[in-house]
Amino acid sequence: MTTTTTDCACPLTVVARCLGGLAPDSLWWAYLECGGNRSRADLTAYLDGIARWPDHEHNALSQALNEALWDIGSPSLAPIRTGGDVPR
Amino acid sequence: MDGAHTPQPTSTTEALEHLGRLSLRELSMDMLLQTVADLTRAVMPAEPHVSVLLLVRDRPTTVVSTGQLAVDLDETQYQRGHGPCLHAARTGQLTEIPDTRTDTRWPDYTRRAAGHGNLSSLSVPLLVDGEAQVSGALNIYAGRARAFDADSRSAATRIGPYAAVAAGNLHAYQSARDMADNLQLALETRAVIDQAKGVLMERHKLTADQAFQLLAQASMSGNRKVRDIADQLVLTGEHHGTPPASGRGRR
Repeated sequence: MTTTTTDCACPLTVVARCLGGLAPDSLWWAYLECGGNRSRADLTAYLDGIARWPDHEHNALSQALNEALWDIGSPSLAPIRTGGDVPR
Repeated sequence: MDGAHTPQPTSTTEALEHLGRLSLRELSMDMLLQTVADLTRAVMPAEPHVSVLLLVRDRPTTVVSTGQLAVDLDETQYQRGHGPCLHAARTGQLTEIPDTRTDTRWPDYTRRAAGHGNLSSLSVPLLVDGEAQVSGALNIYAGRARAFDADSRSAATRIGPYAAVAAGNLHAYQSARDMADNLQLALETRAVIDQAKGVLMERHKLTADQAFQLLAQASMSGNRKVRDIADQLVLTGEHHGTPPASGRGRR
């Protein structure tokens, strides 16, 4: 059994979204490719700071954001959360 | 594309009757739109060049034309971000330039148009899908000044809705195809990542989330996309990340 925490998008995630320059649709597709399951509207709400996401959804998004940053020659910015999923 | 198979109507009424008889079962969507452009050219004065532009979230594309001149004139406007066709598509107003040599609204564009031999133009707005920010314009470029009178303006306005329906169908079809392509890519990528997660879960006794974290860690340290890391793991069994301490010994 595992426990999963939820949290709002941190500032670095929001900055990564702004710098990566992906259109909202493209970001959503990239997030789905990385294993994300939330809708486009949920993604917008999370990045706007009005929704909390569990770690695994955030991590899929972080991966998509960081890969977009690499495509334009920037380093990773969005953090991967590791604290919420604790195996017993 | 040309209008080799489009009949040459002698009046607007005849052209509209022909458009009313067209069926999507017999014509592809771009052929239908091409027929609209060809019929428009046939019934307008001064043997004009015709194009149909689609404006999706303010990104313009010429979807059909009756010749290269119309494409060039459309693209001249796209490069500048303004012009009569973009104005018609953005505002929903019928937009006419009676004489490109004297019109003052878009001087950098009209100079270029006159240089190409286009002396007047008529742009009919196409209302496609306002909610999705999709509009368009049926553009008619004539080689002589003041080519359009009240009758030709009326005829072009009556043809507009046919072009709007055809352009709307084409856009909906292209959107559906784009979505299908994106879904296929997403499914393929996810499948590889899921397989790689499965390997790591079994190998290091991790949860699914921890397995993804391990893939992401390897991806970041090597600046390689997570799909490539997953591909390599699934194909070769090789993985160079360190499993999280908390994951070891999962029951």
